[in-house]
Amino acid sequence: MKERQKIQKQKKQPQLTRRQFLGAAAGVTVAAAVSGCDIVEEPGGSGWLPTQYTNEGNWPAQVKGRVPIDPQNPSIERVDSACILCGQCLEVCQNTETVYNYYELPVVDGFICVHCGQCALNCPTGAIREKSQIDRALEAIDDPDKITVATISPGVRVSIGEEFGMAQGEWAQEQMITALRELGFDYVINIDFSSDSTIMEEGSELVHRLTSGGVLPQFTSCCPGWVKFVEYYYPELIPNISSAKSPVAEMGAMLKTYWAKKKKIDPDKIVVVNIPPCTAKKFEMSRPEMDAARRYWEEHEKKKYSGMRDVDVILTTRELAQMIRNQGIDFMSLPKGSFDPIVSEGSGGAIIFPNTGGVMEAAIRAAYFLVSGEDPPEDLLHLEVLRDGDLDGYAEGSVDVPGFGEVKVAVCNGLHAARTLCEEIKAGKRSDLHFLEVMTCPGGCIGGGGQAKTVVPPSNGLRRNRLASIYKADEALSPEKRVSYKNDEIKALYDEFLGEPLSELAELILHTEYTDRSASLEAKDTKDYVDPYNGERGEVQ
Amino acid sequence: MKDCAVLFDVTKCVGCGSCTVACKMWNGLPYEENAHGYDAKLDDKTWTVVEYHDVKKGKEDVLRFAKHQCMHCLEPSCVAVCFAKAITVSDEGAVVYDAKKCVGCRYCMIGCPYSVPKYEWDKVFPSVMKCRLCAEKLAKNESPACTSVCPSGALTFGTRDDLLDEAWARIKADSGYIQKVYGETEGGGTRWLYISDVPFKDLGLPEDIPTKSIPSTIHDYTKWKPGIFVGAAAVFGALGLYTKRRVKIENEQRQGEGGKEDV
Amino acid sequence: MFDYNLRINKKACFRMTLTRWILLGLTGFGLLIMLYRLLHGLGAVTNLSDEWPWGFWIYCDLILSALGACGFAVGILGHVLHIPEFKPLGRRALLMSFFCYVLVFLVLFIEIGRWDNFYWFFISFAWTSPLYEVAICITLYIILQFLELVEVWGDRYKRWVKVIVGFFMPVIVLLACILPFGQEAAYGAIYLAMPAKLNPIWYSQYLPWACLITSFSGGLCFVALEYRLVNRHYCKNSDDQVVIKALRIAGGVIIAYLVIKLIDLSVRGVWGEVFSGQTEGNMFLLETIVGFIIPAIIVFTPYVKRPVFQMIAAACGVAGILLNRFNFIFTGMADYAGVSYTPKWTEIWIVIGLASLMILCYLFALENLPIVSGKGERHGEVVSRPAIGMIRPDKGKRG
Repeated sequence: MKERQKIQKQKKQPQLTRRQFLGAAAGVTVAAAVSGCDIVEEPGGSGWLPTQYTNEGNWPAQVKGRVPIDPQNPSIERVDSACILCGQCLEVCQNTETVYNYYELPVVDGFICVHCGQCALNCPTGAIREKSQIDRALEAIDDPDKITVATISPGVRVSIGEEFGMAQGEWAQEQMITALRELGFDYVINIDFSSDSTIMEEGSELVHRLTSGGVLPQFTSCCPGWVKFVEYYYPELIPNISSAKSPVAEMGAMLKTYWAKKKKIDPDKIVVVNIPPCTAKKFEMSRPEMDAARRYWEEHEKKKYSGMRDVDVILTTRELAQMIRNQGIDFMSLPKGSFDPIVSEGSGGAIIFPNTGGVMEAAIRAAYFLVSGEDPPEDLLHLEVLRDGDLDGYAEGSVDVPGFGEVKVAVCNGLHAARTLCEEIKAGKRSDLHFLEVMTCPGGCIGGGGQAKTVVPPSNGLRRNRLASIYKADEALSPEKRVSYKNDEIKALYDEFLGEPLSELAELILHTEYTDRSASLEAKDTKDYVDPYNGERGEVQ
Repeated sequence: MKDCAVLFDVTKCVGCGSCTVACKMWNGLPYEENAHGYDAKLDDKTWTVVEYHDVKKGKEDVLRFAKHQCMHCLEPSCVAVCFAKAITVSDEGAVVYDAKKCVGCRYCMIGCPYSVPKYEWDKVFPSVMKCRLCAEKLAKNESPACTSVCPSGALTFGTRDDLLDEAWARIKADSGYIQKVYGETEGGGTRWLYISDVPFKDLGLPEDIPTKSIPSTIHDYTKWKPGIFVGAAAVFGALGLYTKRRVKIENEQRQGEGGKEDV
Repeated sequence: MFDYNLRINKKACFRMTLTRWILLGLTGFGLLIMLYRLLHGLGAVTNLSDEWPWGFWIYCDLILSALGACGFAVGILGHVLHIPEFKPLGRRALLMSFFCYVLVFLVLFIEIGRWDNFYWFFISFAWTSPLYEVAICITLYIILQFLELVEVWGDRYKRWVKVIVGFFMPVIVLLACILPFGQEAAYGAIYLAMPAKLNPIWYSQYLPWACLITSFSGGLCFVALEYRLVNRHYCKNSDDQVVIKALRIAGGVIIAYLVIKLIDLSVRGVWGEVFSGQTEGNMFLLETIVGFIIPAIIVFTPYVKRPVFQMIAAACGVAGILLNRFNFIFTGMADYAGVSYTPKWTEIWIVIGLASLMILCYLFALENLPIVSGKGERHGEVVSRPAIGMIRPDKGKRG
């Protein structure tokens, strides 16, 4: 802590003394008045604008302005002084994520944002950045009454190293664990555990829908940006979203219930600090329904913890790197650390969660077992067809599951592809689909809005390096370690606490509900979508 | 281009604040936190702001954004009241301030019906600061910085006549608009024109500005002044001579009666 | 001619009393702050803001100009209409008026943000601006008054100066009686530019003329007040007739003003605002009752014969000016500004310092120039009691 103060002190700028100022002011004034020289500059017109703006009248340009950002946005903020109006944020928001310009103007009662943070990732000057929660994390660490639990999302470990000079996508999980311990976190937990529990719940839900004729296709719910996107633009498809929470939200709830009970810790003292590669998690954390732990204690143990949230702090990859740098930790030379047990074991299926198609692959491995009762064959552990090799945002395929038949699945990364598919589903053209995975960010969480800005704008090469690194870690494991249902700690979770997937307690802690946000905007009819700049009318591809 | 003007369509503004950044970039102004938001406020370093307004539209609560800057009146009050002729109207119509001529009386600040000019209170030799409609860009046939960066089409640049036609065409095409182009007649007309679907006063635009321009109001007073000076000189001269003579006669009469008084 | 007998020596003499030392101290203090203001800008010494670009200093300018109209009012009555009662008031009104306007000029100098550029308005010829009219009229008026004072100085010290300046006197006096039509009305015209800001109780097309008229009555009340106070201080006899005449004329002008205001308010239909019970309406009623109706009642009833009521009427007349100007600078604009404004202590102390300087100069001139006529009044006796401190008994007379 002392070092931190020192750094802050150094930042303080030298101040002019009053005497110096008086003397200077008097001298300048008298000299100027006597000499009659110009002491006042003509205001205005002395600056600069990017060249795309130096043109006549309302010249149409592909790239203009910037995205609107609510000052109250929980995920991202923008520093005007750094903005150069390059238009990259607008580019990605409109063309990759199809959020900006896909609603009618005037706006209704607020800013439309799915919090994906791609604008921040694409911002060349760093004007747009995540809303920092470093101070909240440090406050919790410094508070001796609080027990700080750092939970690491899987996408971070192939990106954090880039902040400290490692190769693109280099695996840095073990150094990160040590770094977190050095930063002062009491426990370091692996989100892979709750990824497996998500797969168990989501897979069970899918099996339930498949066998009992529920709403299909089922949508994954791990990505908060995607969830909000559906809530905004496709409220009629909300029933399609799996009610299972995202791994981060599940982990928060489980840490403050199952883990707290096992460790005999007062849940009110636990501060869950999650480190995802994502800015939308900051929004997800603030959703009012994300207080399952509080409800559990109130309903099952008659204990009131008012104001207790499942997750308390979200730090993106960049924020964690900043904390490590601020603390003066030499990341590259850190020894390897390991996670704290009980809720940290993860299967290979959980490891590939941050990749596009990863959730789908893990879910198929589990669903195969849940439907057929058999372990998935070797070729199902490497579903190349769903891995979106050309990273164009869309992949689909089918899997034969004994006892059910052909399961047709699709994978989207980037909301542009998801929007196209949603339009088709809405139109009733895709009744053949059973399961759909959507990641808001291109490439999945490994290209998340909170990741290291190694390449700006992020390139597919960078994404491929990170994807490959993740798949390599999965493939290094033995087959029984690559499926969620063989996770010993998950088995313990269900045996000791939840009972079975989709049980009443599991519904309370691991499932959630969604809000229809369509009243916040009037969605454009994308059939009639007119590009405001080149005036071409056409469908979204 | 002569007769430059800008149309601001409130219904098209998304509140991104690009215009405020462009203004600061082009004019070399320091950044502060007050350029856009609920408490956005014009000041000497911020020549244009995007204000957020929670407005009632019928029964709905809606959020609207209103850009504020110098309105660039056709007959600017500030130009008329400046007692050093430091504010002038450019060929293109921009109302431009010249710091070298300014004496610092601040009459423009108090005389502007929209209270746009702001002052560098913390400087020893302060200047009045306000939007200049990027006069030097206009002179080069470019559009002002703020209008050139608007991504949503809320700002349209053109000649005033064209934009008035455009504004009324939009109002006629969509019944949601208020049946008024703000700035068409306010204070004799302004070069910034606003159309909106919510009342203008809810967007921070004063609605009690008389149609008659302030310079002509003042002129109605000033025009009597030469006559009054000349007339008063004539009347006073004549009266003075007449009364002096009358007093003299009175005194003579009194002297005749034996009194002895000074006059 | 009158007997200006307050001093008889040709040598200038100014005896310092405690009060004068205090005034000198205040002057020094005020000048120090003024220097600070000139070197550090407005933000350092004022509470002025973008909401209140004009404040206490402009208020001082307006009231001092209005009260400085005493010279113009007495000039018209004494030297144009040649009403005999006003002849002895001429020089004292001139002296007061001169120092009021010099103070206005000084305050304007510190008030403008770019004092290094102050000369610019002389060559700008911005005829459209009422403020330009004010500035140019005040400047010319001060020059004219200075010439008139030179003549007064020559009267005692250099006869040939008096003769030369005296030659031009009729023209100077005539100009000096016309010019204030410019600045007094233009002060009101300044506020013509604020139709959407100034409360409708005060905002009117006739505001300039109301300002002109009230400055006339206010100036007369001010000179009546001064006449009484200075004469008592220097143990001179006051002539009731002079005071009554001044007050009656002021009263007539006030009634004219009230009639105009009445018609103006009715035509524009703002009586509702006046009696709304809001601050603005109440302040207007206060201004009108205290500043205009009370003096008007006193001067046209027999009370006016009693000196104490004369003093009350004159004081109310002056207060009327102070309140009226206060109301349309502050009260009427407060609603628009939205935030409150209280002058910073430095703002006030600069004015106090400069005013102290002006009072000292005024006293010096009063005692060394033939200003106050001792015999003065047509039927009065010369009183030659020993005066307080600085006044010597009447030893001899100059023609």
